[in-house]
Amino acid sequence: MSVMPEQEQAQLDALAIAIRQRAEQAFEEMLQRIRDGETPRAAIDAVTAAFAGMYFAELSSAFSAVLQKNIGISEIKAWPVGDIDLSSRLYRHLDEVNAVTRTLIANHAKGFVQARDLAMQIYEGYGFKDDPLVVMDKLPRYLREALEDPAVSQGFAQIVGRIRASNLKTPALKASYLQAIDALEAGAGENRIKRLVKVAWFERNRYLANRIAQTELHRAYSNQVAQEIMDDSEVVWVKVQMSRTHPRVDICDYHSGLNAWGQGPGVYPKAKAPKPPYHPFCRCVLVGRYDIDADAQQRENPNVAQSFMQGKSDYDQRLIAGSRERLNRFRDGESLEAIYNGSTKSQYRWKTVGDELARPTNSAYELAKSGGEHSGFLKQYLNVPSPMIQRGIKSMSRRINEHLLWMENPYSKLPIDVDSRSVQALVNKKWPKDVARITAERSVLQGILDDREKKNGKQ
Amino acid sequence: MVNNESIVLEEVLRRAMDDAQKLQDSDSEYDRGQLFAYFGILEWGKEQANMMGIEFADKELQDFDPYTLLSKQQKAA
Repeated sequence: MSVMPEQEQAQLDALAIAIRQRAEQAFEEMLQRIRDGETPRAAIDAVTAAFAGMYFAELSSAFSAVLQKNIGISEIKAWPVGDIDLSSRLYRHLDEVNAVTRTLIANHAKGFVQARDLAMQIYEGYGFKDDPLVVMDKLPRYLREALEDPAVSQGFAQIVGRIRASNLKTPALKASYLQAIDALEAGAGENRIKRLVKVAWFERNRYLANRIAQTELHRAYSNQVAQEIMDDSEVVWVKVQMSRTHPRVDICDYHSGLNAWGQGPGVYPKAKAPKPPYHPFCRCVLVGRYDIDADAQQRENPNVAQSFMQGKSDYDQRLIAGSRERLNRFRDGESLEAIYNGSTKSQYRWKTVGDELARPTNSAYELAKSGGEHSGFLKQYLNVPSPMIQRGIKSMSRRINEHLLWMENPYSKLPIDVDSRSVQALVNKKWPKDVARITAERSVLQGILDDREKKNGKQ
Repeated sequence: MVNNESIVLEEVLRRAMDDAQKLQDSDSEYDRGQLFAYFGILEWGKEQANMMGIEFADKELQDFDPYTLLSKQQKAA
C-alpha cells in the first residue's frame, strides 16, 4: 500500500533539502581543493564523483521510503528516465555543468591577467603619480566593486597607507603600486570566482539534480498509486488533486479543474484520468473518489476544454497553454492534448492511467516492431522456438544481476590495478547503460512471447 | 551461426581489438580515451555475439577478454 500523499510530499521536501546540502558540501570542497592548488579539472572531477555517490544514496533512501520497498543504489542508477537511465541523465547534466564551470574558471584566470596588465597600463599611462588611489577610478569594474568589500579592501588600504606614509618615489612606488593591485586582485579574485562558480556549478547542479530526483520520485509514486487504483475494484472515479504548494498556474490547473465528465472539477473515470506528473517538479496526485456513485453515467463533454479556458483570464490561459503561440493554436481549434504531445518530451506527454497501466506497454518491443532500435534483434528471434527465447530471457536476467553486482562492487569484476577514472566510468556510465540495453532486449524477447500467447489464446 | 552479418561483426571487432592493443602502451590522455572507447565497443560486441550464439572463427578474438585492456599489469606484460 502506498504512503499517503502528505508523507510523499514530506519525503520530496526532505530530499530537496538533502540534495541542497550535498551540493553545498561539494561546492565548498571544490573551492578548498582549488585554493589548495589542485587544478580546476581535478577538483571538479573529484567533487562531482563524491556528489554523485551521495546523491544516489539519498535517492535510494527516499525511493525506498516512498515506495515502501528496498530500492538499492544500483537500481536507482539504472532507473529509467525517459529513454535513458537515471545515472546517465544525471551525468549528462553534470558533464555540461562541469564543462561550463571549467571554462568560467579558465576565463576568470585569463581575465585577471588581463586586468593586471590593464592596471599596469593605466599606471604607466598616468606616468609617475604620487597617489596610486587616483588610478583606482580607472580600474576594471570588478576591482572597484571589490573595494567596497571591507575584507578585500583591507589589505589594499594598508599597502596604500604604507605607500603614502613612506613617500616612495619610482621605481619603489611602482613596485608598491603593483603589490597593492596584487593584494586587491587576490581578494577580488577569490570573491569573484566564488560567485561565478556558485552560480555555474552549485546552483545549476543543485537545480538539475533536484529536478531529476523530485520528478522521478513523484513519477514512481504516481505509478504505484495509479496501479493500486486500477487494481481496486471499488474505485470507479478519481480526482486529480494539486499540491497545496503548487506555485503558479499551469497545465495542472487544467487537469485538476476540468469538469469533463460531469462529476466535478478534476474528476475522471479512473482509466481515463490523465496520469501525473504533467511537468518537471509536478506534485499532482490521483485520489480515489469512493463517494461518487460507481454506476454514474460516464459521458464526456466534448466542448468542455473551450469553456474551461474561456472561464480563465487571458494571462492564465497563456500559462495553461504554455505560450502565446500555443494558446493561439488552441483558439484556432487544435486540442491542448495535440499541442502538448506535439512538442513535449515523451515522459510528459498526456497519457491516461488506462493507457499506461491497464494495458502494460512494452515500449522496447513496440519500438523494435516499428523498425526502430532493436528491430534487427527482434527479427533474429521472431522464429526462434519459445523455450529458447525463455532461456535467452533467463540468461539476460543473469547478466543484468551480474552488472548490478559489479556496480555495487566493481573489483569483483575488475583487476585491482584498473585506474580510478575507468572504474568511475564503468560504474556510473557503461554498466548502467548496459543494464538498460539488456533490459530493453529482454523486453523485446518477452514481447515476442506475450504476442505468441495472445495469438494462442485467440485460437 | 555463420552468415554475412557475423563475418562483418568478426572483422570489425578484430580491427578494434588490434587497434586497441596498440594503444595499451600509451600514457597520453587522448589514447587512453580512445582505448576506453574501443573497450566499450569490444565488450558490447562480444556480449551481443555471445547472446546470439555467434562463435568467432578467429580464436584469438573468441578468447579475448576486453576487460584486460583496462588492466595496467596486462599493459606491462
